[in-house]
Amino acid sequence: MREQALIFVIAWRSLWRNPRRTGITLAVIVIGTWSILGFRVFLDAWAVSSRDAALRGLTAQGQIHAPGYRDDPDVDHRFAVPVEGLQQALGSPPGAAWAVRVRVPAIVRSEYRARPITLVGVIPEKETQVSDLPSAVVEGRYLSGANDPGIVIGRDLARRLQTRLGKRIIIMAQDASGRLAERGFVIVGLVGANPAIESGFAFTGLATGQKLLGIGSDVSEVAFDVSPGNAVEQVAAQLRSEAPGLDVASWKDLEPLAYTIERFSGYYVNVWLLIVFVLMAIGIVNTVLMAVFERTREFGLLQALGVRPGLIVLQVTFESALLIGIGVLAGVLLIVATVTPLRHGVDLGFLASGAELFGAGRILYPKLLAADVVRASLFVWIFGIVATLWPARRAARVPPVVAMSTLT
Amino acid sequence: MILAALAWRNLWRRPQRTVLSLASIAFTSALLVFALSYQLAVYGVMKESSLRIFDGFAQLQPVGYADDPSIDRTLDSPARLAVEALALPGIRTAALRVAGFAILTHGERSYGAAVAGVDSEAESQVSSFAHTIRAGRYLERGDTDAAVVGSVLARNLGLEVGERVTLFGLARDGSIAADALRVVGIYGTGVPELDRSVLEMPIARAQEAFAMDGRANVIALGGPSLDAVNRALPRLDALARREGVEALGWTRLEPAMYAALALKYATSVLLYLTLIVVVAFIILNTLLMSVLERIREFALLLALGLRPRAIGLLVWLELLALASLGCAIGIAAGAAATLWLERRGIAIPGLQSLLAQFGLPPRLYPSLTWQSATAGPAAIISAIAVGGVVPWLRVSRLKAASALRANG
Repeated sequence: MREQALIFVIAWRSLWRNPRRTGITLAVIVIGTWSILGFRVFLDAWAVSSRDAALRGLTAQGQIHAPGYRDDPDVDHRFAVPVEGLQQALGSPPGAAWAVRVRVPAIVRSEYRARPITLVGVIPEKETQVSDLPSAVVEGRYLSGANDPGIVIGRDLARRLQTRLGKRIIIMAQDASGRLAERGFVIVGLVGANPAIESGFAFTGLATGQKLLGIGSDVSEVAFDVSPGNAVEQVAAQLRSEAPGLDVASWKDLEPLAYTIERFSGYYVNVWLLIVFVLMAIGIVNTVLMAVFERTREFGLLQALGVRPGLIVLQVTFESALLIGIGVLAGVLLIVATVTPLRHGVDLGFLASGAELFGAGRILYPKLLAADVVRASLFVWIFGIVATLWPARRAARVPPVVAMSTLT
Repeated sequence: MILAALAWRNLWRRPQRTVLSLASIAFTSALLVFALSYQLAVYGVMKESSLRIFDGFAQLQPVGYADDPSIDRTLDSPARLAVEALALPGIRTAALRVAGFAILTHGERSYGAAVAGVDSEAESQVSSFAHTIRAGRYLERGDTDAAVVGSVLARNLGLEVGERVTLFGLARDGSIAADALRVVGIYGTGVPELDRSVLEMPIARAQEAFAMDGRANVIALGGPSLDAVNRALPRLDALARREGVEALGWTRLEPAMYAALALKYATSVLLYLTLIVVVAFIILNTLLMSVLERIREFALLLALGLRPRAIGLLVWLELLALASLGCAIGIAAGAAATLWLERRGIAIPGLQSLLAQFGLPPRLYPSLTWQSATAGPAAIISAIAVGGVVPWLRVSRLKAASALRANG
């Protein structure tokens, strides 16, 4: 035991006997660890951001409709919200946020043009929780409440209708009795969003929409988000059992393209991380290997002085455990220092100029997970130690006479 | 010349180091060759298949139509324009379209929809509607009283093949366009917006109904590949300017997809560059260590009369030889893997059915091009060549006497 303790002290000292070599090896380990964790954080943030871009428009993480609505999204497929239990299930922790909407096909007419659109009646305070659209107003304001009589339309739609903020437009839609309901609205705001939303949607207060359609307090849609840590599928199943007569769908069914992309990126991220890992491993092993080979003479001298080969291997193992340990810790500190100032978002907009980038997932929110850090650090540490065993064993086996006559 | 030979021999005096460094360079460049081939090919497939659904690879439109697609913006002599466009190399199909809007009625039900008057033969080569017929048939030459509608629209209207649908819309001259057509087929592209809101009818009949007087709104163009059509764009542009119309390439037809792909591409290039920098850093570090380890050797060369600059160059050449050899191996391995997968295709388990929904083939095929084979490795060699200046300068400053005294 005392022997080991002694070797440990020698290992520690010999690390600092050659600060240049130690420094270079450390640099490689620090950069290696930093980049493994950095890629992980960046790729994860990228995947999350692409998904959010798809869901923070109108989809949210899940939606509830009357059966048949998704095929035929008209006023006949509506339901009353206070379904027993459903509201409770939505309000309890698993369903973190939810918003009710009226959402029907309509025709919008300005003085010059008419276009088919989707009219959405919302409760603004609720909407803010499940969608980024309320904050995407580029001109004017968003709706102020469920009774707001104004209308917010897409910037592109306004251009196509040859109208602008403050002007009146007419909305026509089929009401509950099958007749064409018609009403004039003043444009109070324009939203800038992805092209589909910009050119095809108009938003008004929920109550205003309900009145226009003559549907009392019925709604077309409930959009919900689940709180972090809850699986959307589970929540959807729970909601289904609370409201068996309704159609509860998660975003995976509602946005199959976004889901495909997410599956695809999940796959891609893992392959990519594996590759980065292999590359870093080769780099670290190579440097550690060099450091050991460089010391063949020194090990020969130790043997000549009577140190057993086993103890030399032990010394090298201690050295690399210390060195790689310090390197990994420094790498982790470096990544924490890199990610922390970026946690409020990195805008990738500078990479691709022009057109509507909303919806392309351009803002990343890097987040470092403790589990990832621990896993990656431990892996690099253990892997590095094991990797040095081979050159150490070889160096310790060279007969002292040969070792000491080796140049350099 | 002698320096180059010396550099080459020096590389093999420490085979382990060289092999490990080679391995990481070769691995990285093989990876980049494959990743670029794969990524560019997948983007190509995504672009082509979504353009093929309806847009076509390029379009000729009246000036201002893209911003305000109304029926009174027309191409006045579309047939002659189509013939001239077809004369350009790279353009193989020109499909004339009338694009109106109408309320469709069947029995009690009414829906707004886009009405496209099309030339069935040209259309079936430009867009994939004809290949997604789920019931009945597509439009044929000689059809007059015929229409095809999307599957969701048909379901919503309660329409079956053989039944009649009535349309009411606004004609070019401001009069009412009215017609009744027999549904001959139902298509399902898998794109909900199209399946829910487009009716196609024979162009001659549409010109009559919408009072077009022989005019059309759009000419959709097709060719052997998107690239071929893109190459024809400058000439198409010249033709358009001469005729007082506008030529739109795919980036203007699908600005959102263009922006999203550009962002994705730029982000992955950033990822690749980071990887290259990290790998170059690790390799240079290994080299720096070996340079410092060989100070005595260099001192000997100095004492023998070699100039410090020459030794610096020697070190740099070693590095360059290492990088070039590594990249050569990498290109060979990457190209071999890519070519193999080009034949076999890559199927990601569980994704096939999702991909099929978007008209994407179940297997994705990378495609090796000069660009994809050389861009990554060239970047690696440049990074190492630039970074290699550091050890070069370090060695150039050597003084024989002090260097000979250096130990280790």
